[in-house]
Amino acid sequence: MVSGGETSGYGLLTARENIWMFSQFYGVPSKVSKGRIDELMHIFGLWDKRNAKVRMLSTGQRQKMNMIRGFVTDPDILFLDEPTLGLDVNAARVIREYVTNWVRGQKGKTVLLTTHYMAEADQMCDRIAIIDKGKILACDTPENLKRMIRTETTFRLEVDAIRDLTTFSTMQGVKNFSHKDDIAKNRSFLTFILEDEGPVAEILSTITLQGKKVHSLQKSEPTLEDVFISMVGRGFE
Amino acid sequence: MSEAKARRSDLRYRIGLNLRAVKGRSYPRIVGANREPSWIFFEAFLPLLGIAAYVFVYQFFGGQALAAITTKTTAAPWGMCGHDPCANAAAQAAAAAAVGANTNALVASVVLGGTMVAFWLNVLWSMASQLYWEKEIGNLQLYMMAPMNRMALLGGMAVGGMVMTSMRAISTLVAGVLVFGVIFQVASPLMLLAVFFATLIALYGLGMMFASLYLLWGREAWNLSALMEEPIFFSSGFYFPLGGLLRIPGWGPAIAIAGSFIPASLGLDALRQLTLGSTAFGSNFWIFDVTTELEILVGMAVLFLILARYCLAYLETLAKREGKLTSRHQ
Repeated sequence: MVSGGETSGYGLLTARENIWMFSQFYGVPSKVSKGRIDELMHIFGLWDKRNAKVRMLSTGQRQKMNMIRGFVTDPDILFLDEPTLGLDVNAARVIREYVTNWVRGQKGKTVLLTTHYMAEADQMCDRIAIIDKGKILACDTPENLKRMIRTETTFRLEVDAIRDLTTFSTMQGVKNFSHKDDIAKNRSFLTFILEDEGPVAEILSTITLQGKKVHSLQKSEPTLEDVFISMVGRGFE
Repeated sequence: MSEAKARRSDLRYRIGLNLRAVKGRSYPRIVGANREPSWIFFEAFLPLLGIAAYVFVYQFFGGQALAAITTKTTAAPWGMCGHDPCANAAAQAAAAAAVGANTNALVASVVLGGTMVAFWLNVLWSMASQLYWEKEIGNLQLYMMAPMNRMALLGGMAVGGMVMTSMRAISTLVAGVLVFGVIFQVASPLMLLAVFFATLIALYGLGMMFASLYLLWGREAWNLSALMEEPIFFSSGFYFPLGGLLRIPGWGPAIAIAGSFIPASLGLDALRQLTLGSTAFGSNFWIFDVTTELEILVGMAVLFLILARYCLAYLETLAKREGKLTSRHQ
């Protein structure tokens, strides 16, 4: 188990010794443990601090150390409680990427992550349970959760200036369509409200068949935070 | 894999796991705690000051007794041997030698007691209070989640505490011997080692038991630790032979008996007999003979370890049943 902002271990020990100590509680042989610690310290960017006493580490470095402590025993199930709480962007990203790759790269590994960062949950989790006041309100994949509150999908495109727009309005599956031209830049900005993602391919082929280039394509859809608010009736406090 | 083979394999795994856990948890105390050289000042030199206070008092009384023996008057031409004048020069010399021996025995008792204080303080503040402290700093939940036996955790704390404190105690002992010129006469080193280790195991067994109880009682535990410092120093005879209390009518024996429930009391009594000779103080100040005290200490060690296991199991049951590790209003 790894909690965000925790100060586990003993300040007099070095980061490496501290992690080794915890690995002993799981019966990991010292040689194996030290090998894993060194490898993980390189991955998490903590190698330079391996011999620094724990009390001399910054919050981010300590959190990385805690993450290594969590992984050094090669657990089947890992509990992560707000693992990126209070971390700088880089440290948080390193942790998120490692956890995601670890759980998806191996069979039989499970991470139970609790977080208030919805983007983090969206990026890292295969299934998400929304809990409020001790009750699970919903438990599903991020996509399905968002689909629960999604009634329509919005796509925004930036393309070369386009004259013939009539086909878009009559296209099947397009609920609404609007456009705006920027003559100075010779660009058109198209907004489609679709029932689902089905017509996207047809829209793109219609544009390219006219010899126009698509400069950007944006899909606006409900976020997990929208799902949470919709279910709980309030935002994060 | 056959069932018997699987059981053996599982047993081997569990033994290996718990031995590693003991090693891991003792590491911060054996290696980490010695990283700060300040311990030499705080934990080896400063205790000498407390010891010195008692040593000077005993040496003063010894000096006074010697002065009475060597001061010649017309009524006592060979000085005073106790309440009566010495009969001759030989009696005077014998009395002076006895005073010297008793003073050395008292000073040695204080030095030994001062050394044992280090263990008692370690048991109180680094064993008994440790689980509560681990809870406060956030380590306890990690310990509770680990697959090791909880006794291995306490065992690691105890082993680490014993080794760490032994280094400090030996430093104090050596410094005490050098500074105060104490003479020890060890007739039976093996018995001495047996008593020393039985005392430590019983003492740390008591600490392991207290660790669970302290966690259960929470904040009140700190008061309990404070309460068990000076009163135990007195009732366990850290700075004087405990048997002396038995000779005080009324409250003396009651305090000596109460103090004897702390393993340090009987351990110290036996260690003093083994290092000073059982004839020191005219054999008047000992509680039991060494063999009896060793037997009681072994009994205490077993009892406290069993009780420690029981308390820990109760704590775990409470945690599983009620989702908390403390009792009452904590």
